Amino acid sequence: MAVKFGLSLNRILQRALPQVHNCKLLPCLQSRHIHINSLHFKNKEPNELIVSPSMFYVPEGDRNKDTFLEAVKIYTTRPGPRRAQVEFIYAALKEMEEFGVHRDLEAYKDIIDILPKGKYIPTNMFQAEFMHYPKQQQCIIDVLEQMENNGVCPDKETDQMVLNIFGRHGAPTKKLRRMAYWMPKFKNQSPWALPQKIPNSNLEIAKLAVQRMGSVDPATEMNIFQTSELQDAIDDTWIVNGQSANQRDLLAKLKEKQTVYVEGAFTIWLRRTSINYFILRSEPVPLTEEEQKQRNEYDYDDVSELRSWMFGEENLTRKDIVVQPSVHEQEDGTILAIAITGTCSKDSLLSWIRFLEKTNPNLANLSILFATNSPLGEVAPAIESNMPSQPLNKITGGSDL
Amino acid sequence: MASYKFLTSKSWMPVLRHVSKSHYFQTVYLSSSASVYDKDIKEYKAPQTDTTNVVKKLQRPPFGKNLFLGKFDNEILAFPEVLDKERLQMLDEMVAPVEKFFEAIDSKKIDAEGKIPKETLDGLKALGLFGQQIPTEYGGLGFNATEFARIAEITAIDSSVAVTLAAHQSIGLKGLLIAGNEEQKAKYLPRLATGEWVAAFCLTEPGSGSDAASVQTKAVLSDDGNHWIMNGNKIWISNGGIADFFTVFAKTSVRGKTGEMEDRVTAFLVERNFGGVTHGKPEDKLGIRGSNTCQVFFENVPIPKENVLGEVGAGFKIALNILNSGRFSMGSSGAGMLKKLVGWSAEHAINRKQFGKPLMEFELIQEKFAKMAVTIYAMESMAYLTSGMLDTYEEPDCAMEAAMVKVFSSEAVWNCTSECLQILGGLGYMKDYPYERFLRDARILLIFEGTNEILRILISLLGLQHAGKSLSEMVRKVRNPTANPGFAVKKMWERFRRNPQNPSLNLHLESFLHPSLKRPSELLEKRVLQFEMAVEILLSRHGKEVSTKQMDLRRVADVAIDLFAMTAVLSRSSRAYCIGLRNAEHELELANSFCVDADIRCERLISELFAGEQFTQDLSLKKIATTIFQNKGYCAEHPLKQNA
Repeated sequence: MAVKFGLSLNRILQRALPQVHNCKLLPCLQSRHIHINSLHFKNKEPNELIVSPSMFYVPEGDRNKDTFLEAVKIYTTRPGPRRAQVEFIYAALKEMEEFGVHRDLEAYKDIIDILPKGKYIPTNMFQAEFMHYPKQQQCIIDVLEQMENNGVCPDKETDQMVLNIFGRHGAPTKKLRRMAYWMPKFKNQSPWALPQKIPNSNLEIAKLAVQRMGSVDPATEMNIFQTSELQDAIDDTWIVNGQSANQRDLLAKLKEKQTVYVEGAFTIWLRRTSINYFILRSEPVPLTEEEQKQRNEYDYDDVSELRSWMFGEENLTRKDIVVQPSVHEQEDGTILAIAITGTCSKDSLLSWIRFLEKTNPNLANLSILFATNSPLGEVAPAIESNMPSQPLNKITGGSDL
Repeated sequence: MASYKFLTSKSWMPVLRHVSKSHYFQTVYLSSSASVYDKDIKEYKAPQTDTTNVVKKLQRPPFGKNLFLGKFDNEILAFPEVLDKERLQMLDEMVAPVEKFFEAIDSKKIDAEGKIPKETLDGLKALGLFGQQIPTEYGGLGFNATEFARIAEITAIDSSVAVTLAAHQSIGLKGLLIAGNEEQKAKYLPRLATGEWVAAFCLTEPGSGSDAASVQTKAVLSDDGNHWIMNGNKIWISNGGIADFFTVFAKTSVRGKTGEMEDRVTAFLVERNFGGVTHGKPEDKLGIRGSNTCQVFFENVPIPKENVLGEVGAGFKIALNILNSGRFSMGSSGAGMLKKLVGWSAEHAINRKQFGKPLMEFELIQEKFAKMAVTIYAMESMAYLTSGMLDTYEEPDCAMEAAMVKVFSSEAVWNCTSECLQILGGLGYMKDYPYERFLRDARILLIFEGTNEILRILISLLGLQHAGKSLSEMVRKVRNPTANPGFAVKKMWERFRRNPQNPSLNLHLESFLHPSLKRPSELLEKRVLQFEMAVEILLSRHGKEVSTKQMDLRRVADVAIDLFAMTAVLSRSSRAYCIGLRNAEHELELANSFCVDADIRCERLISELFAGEQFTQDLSLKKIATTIFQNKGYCAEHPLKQNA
């Protein structure tokens, strides 16, 4: 309420006595002198402040970076004293996504640049401590917050701007510097580096996805098959296959008539793009009770007969010796291969298995079960799986990192 | 204003206070001065994009030399960022095509045939690689040391090409860049920059290798006084057979200070067209077989008077300057070679299975890879720190640092290629694979551009000379305790108080680094302090004789190299971690591991320096060597010999 009170007074004053208002002749009426706690300003509903300036009334098709920057330019170059700067900034912030500039540093810099330089810099320690020009400071903090949520890192120039507007004790300056310190750090935290811009082609995305999933085993090889090479394939599409030598060995060891499953589609996200993938899985092989018992009885304390399996002194088929399972042998099954196909159709998966048979002859002896029910519901073709950015915000917090 | 200071310190994260000062926040830190409070900023000015690149150079004391005095320049712990964004981008754009070009080079063929094909050389010329450090106004690329080092990383993938390029521009035409006058530069540099002419550096002679002052080639002034006539021959000249332009060092008679004629070395710029320049057949070498190395003969070569480089008689200094300034790039080129080889070995270790497991899962293999990574990291850090010093310091005094980089990296390359071959097993020994070539090529690194032994002496002597200037008074008194009994006692007490085994750390290096590097920084600090004491003890013990105590000089050089390397890795990893580069944690681990290893090496060397030759192996080693020379070889009796 306090905010509204202060703001409505502001507006009345601005309309009635612009000169007087600008000169700060009636300081006691301004909210910043009544409230010193910044929490008051954080809890406000931003929408209430927004007057949607006419500059942003741009037809649907023309909403792009150029028109956005033009709108800001019109506002800043308008003759006469500039009014409702904070309101304009909030309006611009809200419109940014519409104009597709919400991940564009230049646009943010243009908005920040609206505020006057030097005016809001505190001149004594009380001003510095008690949030000088709180409305403006909060406004720029919100701009920075939106930048942070969209993964836009401020650069030196932004820093210089904010510094010139609020001085080094301004809350926005501090926030900006914290961002400048932490955001580049988080940017590189993911162990799976992705290119700055995810390519548009599904095949390229599939390659990236298989590469990422295959990174559990450095020996993973990625192959790209074209179904047109097979005679009886219905779909003409590509298949990106990921399988390591280890997985081939595991597959070769499977007994005749054992069932292996083709399962999917599962989803993998690469930044704001998702793509569906399939796995070839076999049932895990649990230890028998006898083996478990033998293993438990292994005497680790007996050093009288040290033997090394490296020199053939130890029999590797002994049940009480654990050969360390590979990363592909998980509790719920052994992953034998992964693939992404262009159409995600059953036929393409069949083609995948045919291609695999060339390098894994044992596959012909196994019974293969295509699990049609994807845990994610109906399988969508990869071509339509490029989701708009909005739903992703819920999953990844909207950050670009 | 006092209260403002309090506010500022709150607003800065403690980590940032020192570390980032020189990086991201530099401009901010400077601009947030009192002027902001005077409200004189009314209009924000965007940085000019077309600013002329006039960067004021820093005035810093020589780092390596000051280590000998225990003075540590803390600024060095902020790893230099030499290239601004634009220049870095330009460099990256340059790197991509060069990389592509070098991937296409058939190194095996070059190695087997002992010749670089003309198309390859033409390709290099088209890329501008023959004029990397030549200023743009003469048609070169105008690279600074850092950019040069970056390109050297790629060219090193084929050592024959790398040596050809290095002989051309790191030494061949470097003299012209350093000491040439305007006319000489205008006359030769454009042709050298395009690669139309290839340059060679002629110093080595049958009787003078590392000893540059003893050249026998002679140049005498002709009777009319317009020409110098040169006679003599030079051996093992890289590019000797293909070069059209030679920087030649020859003895000339100069009137000395006392008025007598004495022989002094002078540098000449010699064109092949002058006549009388011939060369022998290319040498058959162990490695770098594609590079052209041969004898060059000068027979009554007439050299115009204006082709004297620098002043008559100043050739020795020019030669040393050229050699000193070319060495730093060996760190980055060695790193380039090793990165390639380690990549291949890693692939092998991933795919090759033994005993049912890939090689990468065996601890001994893991240890090898880890140690190699640590070494490469140190090499790169040292090389780019040195190139950064060369680029950002005013009148950089980096001969010592460059020598350190050369010694460290040439030995590291040799050891690591050997380790890689060990990992590759039989494959590494076969000529069908490229691996063995790297080992052969790496061997020359220890020998050329100053052998590592000479460079070790150079490093320690440069440092001791520097230290000797400040400590001369003290040393004189300590060496004459009977004349200065009070001082001697005081000094003894001081030494005792300073506790050489565990000195109290008063340099506070950790406050200039990220806190996660506290432990390794303390190791470095301890060794720096001990090193100073060791230098002092060494000077007091040997006096002027110190320059002949080569075993101690070797130790001093090794400690100095390790200290510089520790500084470089700490500074680089701290920067990487603070600005959040990819795999920055990995860099911390590399830095930490290197420092722990280097600390152990230093501990041994320093304790030997403290102890003196009575307590080390030095005397007995000298004795063993003397016996061997007396008997002209190994002289222990055969183990089967019976004394009957």
